[in-house]
Amino acid sequence: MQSSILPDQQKIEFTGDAKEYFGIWISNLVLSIITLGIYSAWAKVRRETYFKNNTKISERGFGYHATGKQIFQGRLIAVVAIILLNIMTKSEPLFAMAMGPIFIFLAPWVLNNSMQFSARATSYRNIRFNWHGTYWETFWFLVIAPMLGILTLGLLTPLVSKSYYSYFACSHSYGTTRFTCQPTIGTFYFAFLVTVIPTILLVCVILGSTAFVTSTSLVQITLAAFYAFIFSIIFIYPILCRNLMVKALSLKRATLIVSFDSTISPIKFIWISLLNWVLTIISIGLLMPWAKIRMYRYLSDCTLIKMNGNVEQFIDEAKASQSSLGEAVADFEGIEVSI
Amino acid sequence: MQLSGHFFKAFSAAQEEGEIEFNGQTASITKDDLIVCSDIDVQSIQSKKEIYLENGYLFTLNTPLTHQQEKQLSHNVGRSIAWLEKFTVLRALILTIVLIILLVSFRYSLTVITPFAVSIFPQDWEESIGENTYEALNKTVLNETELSLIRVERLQEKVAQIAFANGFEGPEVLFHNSELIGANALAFPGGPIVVTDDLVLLLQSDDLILGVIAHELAHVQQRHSLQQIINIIGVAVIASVVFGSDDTLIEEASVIGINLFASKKSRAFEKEADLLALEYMENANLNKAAFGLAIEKLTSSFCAAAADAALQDCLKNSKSGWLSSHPSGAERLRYLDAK
Repeated sequence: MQSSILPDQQKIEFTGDAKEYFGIWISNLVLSIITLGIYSAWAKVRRETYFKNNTKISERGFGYHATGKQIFQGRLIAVVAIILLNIMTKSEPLFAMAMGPIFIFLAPWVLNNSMQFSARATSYRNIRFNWHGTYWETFWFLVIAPMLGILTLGLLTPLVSKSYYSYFACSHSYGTTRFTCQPTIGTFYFAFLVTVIPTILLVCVILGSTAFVTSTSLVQITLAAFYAFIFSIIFIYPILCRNLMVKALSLKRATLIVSFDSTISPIKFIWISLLNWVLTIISIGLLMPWAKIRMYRYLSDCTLIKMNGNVEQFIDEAKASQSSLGEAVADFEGIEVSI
Repeated sequence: MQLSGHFFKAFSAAQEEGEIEFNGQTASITKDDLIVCSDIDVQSIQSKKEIYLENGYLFTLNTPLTHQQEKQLSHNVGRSIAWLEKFTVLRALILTIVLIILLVSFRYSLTVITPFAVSIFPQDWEESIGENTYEALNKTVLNETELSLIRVERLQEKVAQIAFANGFEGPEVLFHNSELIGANALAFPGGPIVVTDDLVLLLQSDDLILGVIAHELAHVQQRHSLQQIINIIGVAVIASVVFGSDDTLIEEASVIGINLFASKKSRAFEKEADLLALEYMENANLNKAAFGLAIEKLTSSFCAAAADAALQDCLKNSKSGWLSSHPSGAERLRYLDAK
């Protein structure tokens, strides 16, 4: 048996290129339109397989195992269910009022199924990933807790983020081995402050200094500061949180420790996002494959992995692949955990 | 075809050297001339190197499959899709042109599809959408009318006469007081039509009020709300195909584009309703010029809030803003006068 002792620390390599992906992307689009959307399930498999196969650790790519048929069946059931729900809301107004709470209580189930499906469909060295989130934990950490951050005007946001990201990481496993992730709360509060305060100050200083010339009122400055706060919370803070989560992430077996690091710069990330956005719009979508590859490569380059021990120790669990229904509902209803 | 490489047993990350032999769509793995597994269906071939078998084994080839070998191992459909996906400048160009033709055809087929979709959409479903929307507004922003019952009944009777003269049964016309909405009239899908007390007080004359109601009748008769919904869905589908829906910034840009389209379409519906209102009035032997007078009065009232210098601009402005749902007052008066 050949042993696989890996070098100390390495980048997660991404070997995909825009030209190659353009071929997949445009074929997917044309075939999806011609088949009135039916092919989109297979298109998803082609896209995911391309990205997973070209994401490499020690020159070995990840595998993707969902099938078009599986995804198509899930989508079909989800479409029928959504149509039925809509008909019921039209015919029974009381049911329409109950839809909000129903979706809130359905969200953990949808999220768990969606994440389990995605995890089980991904493998590395023939070992599949898995998701172990429970209904009530997902309900609390991913559905209710984020609302607390909003209700406390951001004061509890770092606390909520810590539990949100830790739960997301710890609920994943590589085969039978669970990921561990224990970041400290202080680091999240620090990330929150360095994100929010400079952004608000910058906006206030710029508007304040031009206030005499442009007759900007205090109300307008306050409104701009509020927008700056929202912008920093939505676009900058999650990048720092992702860095903190990845830095604290590890996989441990008897004589093996796998640890991770992330060096994403929020400024560079936003710059790439904005440039991608502008170029995609200008090219009426034709530069989308290039934009996606560029962003994916940046995220891979900024993620480092260190393995101490023999990676062959990992074993998988004998568990059947999950139904894609949850993922299909998540796709349609826009319920997602995006990290 | 026999190829060498490494294999991973099911549920294991440990790799061993071995050979794989293909027989059609099945494969057998041997190690040191001993059979490890035989005649197992090939589940998928990824990255031209990783061969996943139905029994959970993974075989990694030392050298990637050649084009010829890959061709032998894939199905006809898979081969055709792989050919389509392979990037060449000519193929990319052809596919791009096909994509643009498909999207443009889809966009213009909306003009045919929409009236058809509207014609098969059950009337009672549309009415139920209208009623539910009205109920929601009635609970929040609409109050009891302060107009006399005699005036309300007289106006309702005249509206019934307009509908009768034009050969249809008009929807219910309801009068409400509303501080939030101001001087306005609203047509809900399939009815009812709501007229605010402020509008009645501003226009005063029954003919002028009936002109505005005739305009709302045209919206209901032509099922403009439903047409707008179907158009927006169609354009949203095109936008999600071209720009995707997994990038927040690009999604926002798509929404802006859809709103611009919706506003343009809405202005076209308003113009159609304006011109139909004249017809309805004429057919009911009412003074059709009253509708133009009503628009003039409403425009003056709207512009009265502007400062002196801006007042004249407001009154004369004949260009509609990109995001306006209605043509400008001056533009409306121009085409109404021409009739």
